Amino acid sequence: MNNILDFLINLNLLKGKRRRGWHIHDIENGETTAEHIFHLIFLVWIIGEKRDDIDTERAIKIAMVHDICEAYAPDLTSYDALSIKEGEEINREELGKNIPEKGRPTTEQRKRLQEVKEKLEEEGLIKLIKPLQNSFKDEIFDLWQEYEKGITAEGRFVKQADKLINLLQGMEYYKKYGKIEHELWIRRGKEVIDDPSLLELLGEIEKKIE
Amino acid sequence: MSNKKYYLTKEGLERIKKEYEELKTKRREKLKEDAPEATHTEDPDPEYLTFRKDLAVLEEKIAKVEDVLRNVEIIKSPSKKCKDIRLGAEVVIEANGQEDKFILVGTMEADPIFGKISDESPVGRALLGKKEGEEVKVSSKIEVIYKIKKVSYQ
Repeated sequence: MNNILDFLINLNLLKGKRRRGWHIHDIENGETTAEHIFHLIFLVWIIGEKRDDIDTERAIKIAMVHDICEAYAPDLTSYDALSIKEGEEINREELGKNIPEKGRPTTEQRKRLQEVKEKLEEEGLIKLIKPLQNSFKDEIFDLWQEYEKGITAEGRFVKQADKLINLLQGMEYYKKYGKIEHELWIRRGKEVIDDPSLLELLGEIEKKIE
Repeated sequence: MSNKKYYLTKEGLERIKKEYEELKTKRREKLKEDAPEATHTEDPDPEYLTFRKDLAVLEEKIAKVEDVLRNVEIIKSPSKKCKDIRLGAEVVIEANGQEDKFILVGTMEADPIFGKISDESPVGRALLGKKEGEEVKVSSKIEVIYKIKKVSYQ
């Protein structure tokens, strides 16, 4: 039982880890990774139940594990790519330590960040699940890969639901603090989401914006 | 399984095929393990149940990937002179004074980090079939006009 206890104690780190994206947008005391996961699970469950092409139980499990690597991995955003200089090696230790400027990185910068991000997240996940017995370890790792690779319908659904719940949270912060470019966020939502049920919900979110 | 068509680039198809081979290898390895014996008692052996569950998950994933491979349609690039937006097009747009670049792909290859947007997204649907120089309005409460500045194919 000690191994389960170690895992649960380590998982606790996510309750205190504030999402950097909100910090970058100057939102004080933004949600933590654990709070984000909690919110996403409900979206996936409720919408997943309406769908006959989604295995809801599996999708919920994917939502549960999708960001747990952040217990040990930095929560990197696309803005972090702006600090990557052409021809220079990326300092892994420094990534995610400072708050980056807002801006639009080049495709090459995003590609290079993504490669490092994937490695850091995989290492973070492996460290987190290390205490667990093999069957659980394998299951969590497989679920996380399903999300990352988007090979299955459930993995793709959760990935898009993740974008929508982030957008919903952004709109809540917009109502409370301003500070979020709400029109740009809605526009981006319509570029990156193609799931019909999630698009319907995006339409409802848009209607509620003053 | 569905009859939904999956539009993929050659690279996308290679990625799916690689994943399919990896899944089949995993299944072979799982079956090679010493499968726990099923016990015919009221309390089944938990190890046996875990083994069956893992195998069922693998089988389901393999079936889903097979469904994709059965219904795949490869995106063919038109001639480089083609100026209307089809799947595989690289599109430079301007919206709200900001320039942006998209590659229009099928849903399985959509990856916003690299500007790959799905043809099933509202913006992807609106752009499909339009030509360089045209404008596209994505209407709802917040209306956005996308000016199509350049269309190209690799």
